[in-house]
Formats: sequence, structure tokens, C-alpha cells
Amino acid sequence: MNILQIDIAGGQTSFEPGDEIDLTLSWELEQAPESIELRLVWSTSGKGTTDLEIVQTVPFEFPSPRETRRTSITLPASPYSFSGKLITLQWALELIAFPAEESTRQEIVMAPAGTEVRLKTIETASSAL
Amino acid sequence: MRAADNPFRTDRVLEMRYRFPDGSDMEKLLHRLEALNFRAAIVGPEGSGKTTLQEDMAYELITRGHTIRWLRLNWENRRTVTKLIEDLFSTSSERDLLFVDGAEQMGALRWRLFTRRADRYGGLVINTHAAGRLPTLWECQTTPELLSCLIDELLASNSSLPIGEVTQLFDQNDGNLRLCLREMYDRWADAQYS
Repeated sequence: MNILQIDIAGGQTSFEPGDEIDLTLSWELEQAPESIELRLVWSTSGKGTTDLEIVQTVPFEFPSPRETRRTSITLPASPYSFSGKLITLQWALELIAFPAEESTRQEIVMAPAGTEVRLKTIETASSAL
Repeated sequence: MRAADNPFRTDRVLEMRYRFPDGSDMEKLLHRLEALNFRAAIVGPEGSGKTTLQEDMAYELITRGHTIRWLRLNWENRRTVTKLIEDLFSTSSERDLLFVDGAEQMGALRWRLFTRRADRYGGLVINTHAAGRLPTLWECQTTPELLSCLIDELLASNSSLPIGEVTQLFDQNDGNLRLCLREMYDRWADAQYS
């Protein structure tokens, strides 16, 4: 069985823009992968089609089938994690083994105070004025 | 309620695969496609699962060693059909199977010219709203029971919608399952926000 794992220092999953995240990446694969890649991505989901952007990649060349590596990644300034009735934007770290494309994903929040921005409905927003 | 937690969000709906009625399955469909010399049409109205079925077929054929070349036509790209067709032929080899999603976007003359060129390729499988362009491989049909099954699956253990309500939703959207599930998205979101 193939196992890939992303461990964030202190088990933290909420961050502010510009924060540096310390990561421990480990994998146990039946066959030696050609390469392993860590990706920082954001994606949208909701009523419309899904958008996905790969913001940063950290490649690991010549990996062994079973290994643990440490790295760190710095979050960009934007876009913030947000959510409303029609769309959610969420950030995630993905660890992918090639060529089989086995992968694991760890969702994180990236916004001021580490709290996802909640969008109000038009009705709620206008009644608050 | 976050949009990402809505059980009817688009990525969940797109993950669902085509449901064959009892007595039919992909294996039988592929045998029939082979008997039709890989030239056939999936026919059905909007939101009946034509594209989903065609994608499932493509997946199966790829696992059996075929190469699929897609031409996806829709209302948005209708002005660039000529270029899309040229790109398709210039990047395909004669053994490839050509899969056209939305063949009704081609007018009669363009269709005739297209099929003349496509004859040289390993196969041509289209999906379209009306029968007649190629032998019909499969006719996609929807029922309130099918919609009910999809809704239950998306809701998982959360709850279920009474069949009377499902039938009303089905009728209001003329059996278009895509529209029905979008309406379910709105209903769910409205209920959470109210």
C-alpha cells in the first residue's frame, strides 16, 4: 500500500498571509517514484466550475521509496480563504508522487487572523447598512 | 454554510458517473459500438447524461489501448468551430477514435464535410440532441426515479427528498437533471442561509 503524508509543525492548519510553514513530508511507496512534488494550491468549489491554481511547487529529486524530508514554504499575500453561498476558495498543500500520481492533500486556511473570510448574502449585507 | 460544504456543488455532481438502467452496462455498449464499426451517436436531450456517458466510454476505451481525440463544441465556442476542427485533425492519427461532444453545434454542410474527413479515422462517436447523424448507439433518458437516486447519493445520510417533490422538481426542469441539481444547490444554500 502506498502512503504519502504531510505533517504541519504543531498540527496548525490556519495561517496568515506571508506566514512560513514548516513541513515534514513522508512517504512509503511500493515502487521508487521518479520524483515527488509538494504543491501549494488554491481551488474554488461551489455552484460554478472549479478553478485551480498551483502557486508554488517544491520538487524532490531522486526520492527513495520510503523517506521523510523536511521543508518549509512561505504563503503569498493573497487570495484569502473565503466562503459564501455560491463559492468557496480554499488553500491546500498537495504531495504527489510521479509517474503514478499517488497523492495526498492537506487543506489549510490562509486569511487575516487565520480565519476564513465569510461572505454575506446581498440581502444580509444591505440590511446591515 | 460554506459553498464547499453544499452537497450539490459542481465538483460532486461531476464526480457521479452514468447510470445504466437494468439490463444494460458499459460492456454491452462497447460491444455494440464495435459492431457499428466505432461510428455511432449517443442521443438525448440536455442534462440527460450524454457527456458523462461519453466520458465513461472514453475512459474504458483508453484502458483497452485506444487513443481518444476530443472535439468539444458548445454555445460559447461556436465561433471557433473551424479552428477546433482543424486542430482535431492536425493532432490526430488515423487509428485514433474521434469523440465529438455537442455535434448539434455543426450545421448540415459542416457536418457533411466533417464526416468525410473523419471517415479516415479509427472511429467517430458523437453525442447530440437528435437522432439521425450516425447510427444511434444509446439514447439517454431521465426519470424522476433516476433523479431521486442521484439526490439521495449526493445527500448521503443527511436526508432524502420525498418522491413527490422530486417529481415536481423533475417536471419543472423538463427532465434536465443538470438544472434539477443546480436548483437543489440553491435550495440547500437558501435553507442554510435563511
